[in-house]
Amino acid sequence: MAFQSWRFENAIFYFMLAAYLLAGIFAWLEGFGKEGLARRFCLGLSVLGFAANTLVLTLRVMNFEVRPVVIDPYRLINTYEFLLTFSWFTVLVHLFLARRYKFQASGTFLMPLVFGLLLYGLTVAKPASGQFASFIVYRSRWLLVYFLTSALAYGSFAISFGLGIMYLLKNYLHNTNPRGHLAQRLPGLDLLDELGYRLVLHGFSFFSASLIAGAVWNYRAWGTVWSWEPKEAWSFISWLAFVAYLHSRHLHGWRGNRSAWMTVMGFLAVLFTFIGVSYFLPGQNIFGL
Amino acid sequence: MGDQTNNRTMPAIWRIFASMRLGLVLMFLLAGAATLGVLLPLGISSQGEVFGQIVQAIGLNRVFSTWWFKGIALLLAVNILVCLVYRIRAVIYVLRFPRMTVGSMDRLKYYETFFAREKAEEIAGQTTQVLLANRYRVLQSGDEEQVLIYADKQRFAIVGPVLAHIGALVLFAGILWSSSSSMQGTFITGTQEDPFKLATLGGRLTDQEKTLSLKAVDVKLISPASGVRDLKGTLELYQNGQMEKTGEISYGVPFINSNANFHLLYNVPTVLISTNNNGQQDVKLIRPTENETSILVPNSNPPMYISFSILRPGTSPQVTYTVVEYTPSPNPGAAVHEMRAGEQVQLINYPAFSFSLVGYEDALKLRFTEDKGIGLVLAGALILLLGMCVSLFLHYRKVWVNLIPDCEQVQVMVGGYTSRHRVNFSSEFSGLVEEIKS
Repeated sequence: MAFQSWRFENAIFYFMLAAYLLAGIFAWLEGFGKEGLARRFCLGLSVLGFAANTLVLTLRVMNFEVRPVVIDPYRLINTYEFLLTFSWFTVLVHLFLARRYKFQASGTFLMPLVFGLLLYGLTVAKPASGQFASFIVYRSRWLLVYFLTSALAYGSFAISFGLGIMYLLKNYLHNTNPRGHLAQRLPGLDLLDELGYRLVLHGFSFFSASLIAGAVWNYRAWGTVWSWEPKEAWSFISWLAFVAYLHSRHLHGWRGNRSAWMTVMGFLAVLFTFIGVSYFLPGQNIFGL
Repeated sequence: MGDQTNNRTMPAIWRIFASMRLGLVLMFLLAGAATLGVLLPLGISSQGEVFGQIVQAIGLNRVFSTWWFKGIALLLAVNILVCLVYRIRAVIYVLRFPRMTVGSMDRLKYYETFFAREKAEEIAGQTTQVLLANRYRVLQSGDEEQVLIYADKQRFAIVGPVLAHIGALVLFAGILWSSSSSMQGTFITGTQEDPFKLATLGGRLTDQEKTLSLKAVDVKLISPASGVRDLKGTLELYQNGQMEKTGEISYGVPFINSNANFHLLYNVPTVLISTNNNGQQDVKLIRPTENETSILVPNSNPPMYISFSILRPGTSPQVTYTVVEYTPSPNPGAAVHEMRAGEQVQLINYPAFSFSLVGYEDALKLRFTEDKGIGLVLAGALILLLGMCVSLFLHYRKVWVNLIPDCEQVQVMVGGYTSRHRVNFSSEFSGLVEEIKS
């Protein structure tokens, strides 16, 4: 009997979704007082979800319709696969923060975000089964670079968004109820500010690289570098938002609350570029990236 | 950026352009204008006469090509250039003449002091060894009263932002050059024909030096069963009547000849308007390059035209139409009506004539581009990325050590500074102090 990869993949996908959802719930339980066991569950489930995410991504790039089975990275070029890559990178950084800085609290905001995006991917974007992989126009290395750098950029911005929210919450609790359990559980303000900034810096570099790779692909495929279609225009607006963030931080010393608000607003602009533009301002960008 | 220079000697205009605050304001303006450009539909100019005229005058229906949008971008470029001039001077100065001392070391974020019983020279030697082992560049000066040690690491990190801004300027220059020197033309499939009949299509493009003509032959769908039109064909390019080049062209893969590229595009929405004159039917197209068209009402006296324009290109099939009499110039006060797909309109004075909006049809287009600025655009992009990588992976760290002999002991003051990666530097600084102490 032929190996039905999609059945296996579906099972793994739902397992991953459940793991991320439970990890998010345990992260919140940990924040509100169920220390110890909840923390271990949150971390364990994040690791399991991440392993399942890796497996789903691996299955996505494998083409089982031909023999022998081939690995084709161009099968990733679609919104659903983009969300899988985006969540994979986000959870990877979350696990790194948990290990390097003993910083499990990042899951409080990241795991629900990852769960929501994957749910969106499953219900709205839907798997593509390598729909675009067979067309010459999409088999471009520039497009692949664009795809990967975008996923890394969005992931970095998502984490900086989570850290920004945590900064604002911690700052609020610091002023109102500094001895409360949640205030004690959240990491120090300096660490949150510094890590958020570093992730924005990484995200911004990846984002710039993705805009450049996308423009080169656009030129190769359609003869125009930039055409101001809605997706491009909103990418430019998001890029400007982060340019303003970096300059205000470097030159005007904007840190703390103002800086955290800017990362939150920047990520919302990115999220609108990714999801909102596809619905409210449709353009030529067929796979929503 | 320009704050480091002497403000009194700077002319007012330079002072304004050297301000980073202006840069931030211009970026916000640019982002706001881009938001307007995306959110306002092209058909907004037809929403009422006075409002429409205001929109037309300001160019809100074509923000990205207006003089004021380009003006904001140009002001931002000038702002970056002026800031860069001062920044480069400051960076060169910092690299050539590092600041050996700081005013009050105890006000630094990273600062520790302790007393040691060894001689100042011994401590200086040991400190230098520690800093060198940690890959710091070490400079030493001093007199009988104190020994000053300055050390820094990855100082070229400060070049990163400069490179990134140079890249942005080169990119901007490339875009300007592209828009002023490039040539673009399109060939679109004929009326009502199967859009895949590009084989029958020929065209001519003329620039100052040469006359190009081309013919596309044997255009085929690669995978006809799929929903996506994946085309492939052969293109023949003639220059001054002589065949210059022939080669394959497919959807997304251009046919390249010297600097000129030919791109095959398919998903070009073209609006179809059906007309009926006494039972004789015809179809009129509004091509994407035109965005509007007009039809002469048959047998109308005085001549009557109906002009159509697409309301929101690429979205729902909807056009606006105006019925105007040419006596001899069009009537500017004519009412504008909206027409949706399937809607039929009959003229009161000419009941035999009617028209309706059929909807959109995908047309096939062959685009010709000759972009002379593309090299500069790519070079700018690469410099921009390089600058970002330098900023990202290097971070400038400075350490000052002051040794002040005090009776039998020596007071050791250690201070550190970094603008980024504070969490990591905090532990690195503590490690350095421990090593110096030991």
